[in-house]
Amino acid sequence: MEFDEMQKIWDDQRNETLFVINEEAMHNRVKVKKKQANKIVNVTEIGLMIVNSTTAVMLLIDAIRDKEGIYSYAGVVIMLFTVGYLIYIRRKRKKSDQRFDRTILGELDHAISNTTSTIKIGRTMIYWYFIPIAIFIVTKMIYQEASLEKWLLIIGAFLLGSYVANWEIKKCHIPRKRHLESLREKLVE
Amino acid sequence: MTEEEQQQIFNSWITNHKGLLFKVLRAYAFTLEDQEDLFQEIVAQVWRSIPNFRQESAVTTWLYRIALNIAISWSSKEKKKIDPQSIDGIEHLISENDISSDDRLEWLYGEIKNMNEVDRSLTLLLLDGFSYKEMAEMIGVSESNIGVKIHRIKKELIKRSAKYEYHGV
Repeated sequence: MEFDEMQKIWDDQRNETLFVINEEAMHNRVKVKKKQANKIVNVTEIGLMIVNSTTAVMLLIDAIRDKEGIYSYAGVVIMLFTVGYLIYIRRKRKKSDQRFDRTILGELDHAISNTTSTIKIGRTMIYWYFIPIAIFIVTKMIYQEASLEKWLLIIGAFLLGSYVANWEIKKCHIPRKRHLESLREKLVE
Repeated sequence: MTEEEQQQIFNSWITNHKGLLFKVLRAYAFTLEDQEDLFQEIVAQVWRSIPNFRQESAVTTWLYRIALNIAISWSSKEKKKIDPQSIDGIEHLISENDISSDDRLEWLYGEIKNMNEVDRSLTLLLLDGFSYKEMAEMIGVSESNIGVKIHRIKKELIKRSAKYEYHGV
């Protein structure tokens, strides 16, 4: 079959009758999607900011009230630092939203950039948030001479948290980024 | 733009260009559940895109770009396993119409489905009469790059059609 013949077969198709659209259901779904737009990423970023700010305030109150020493204030500083970092990441992401052109390649680059940003936040949370907080809590437990059960519980919680965070990055975000990059290669090859 | 105006544009685009959207659905999603999921993603994005439409391009070009963008990223997502029983009570967006289709058209869609995500987009655009220049602008690569890919796609389709005709389907 020559390509012209395929073209004729294509042109003759009756696409309009292939599916029937339920217009009411479609409009309902669009309304729901409208509300969901950007919700996930906003909830993650703003939620983390609120949680970390609240923790910082609580640690500060605790430090002033108990007068336990400099390490209590270190916890406050770490928490405030993570809030600042989240604000920086959020502003950078919003700025980058306008940087990409509206071609398929541009949208793909945008998706790769978003996935890279998610991986970066995930890794930052492990190395620059999890570890300092763990050091802070361990220092506090040494100072308070915590029981063996408490030690095991805290170490277990940190190991589990770190494993889950790593697992999400390795199993979800990195494969997605690789797939997007392979799509990009197919586009530009 | 008021929401009412946006709604009017949305309705007219969907009514006049649903054929285009259905072609993308057939090329990228292969079960009715997946087609419904992809259709939902596409129409939601079409709605969001309306305030950004500046009439610098034709509506068909605009819609194709959105639909293909969504379809490519949708196909890269891990699909949820949908339990057919769990969606029995859900209001469906699309349903299949009971029509007989040309076998040769079915074969053509089958071949498109076997292509990679990028070649599928190019084949749809080629068959729908877009020029290399329009495709290059829509995809974001050079016209010569498009030319090379299209040449390869056409050659492969012609080669495969020989096998199809040989089996006399």
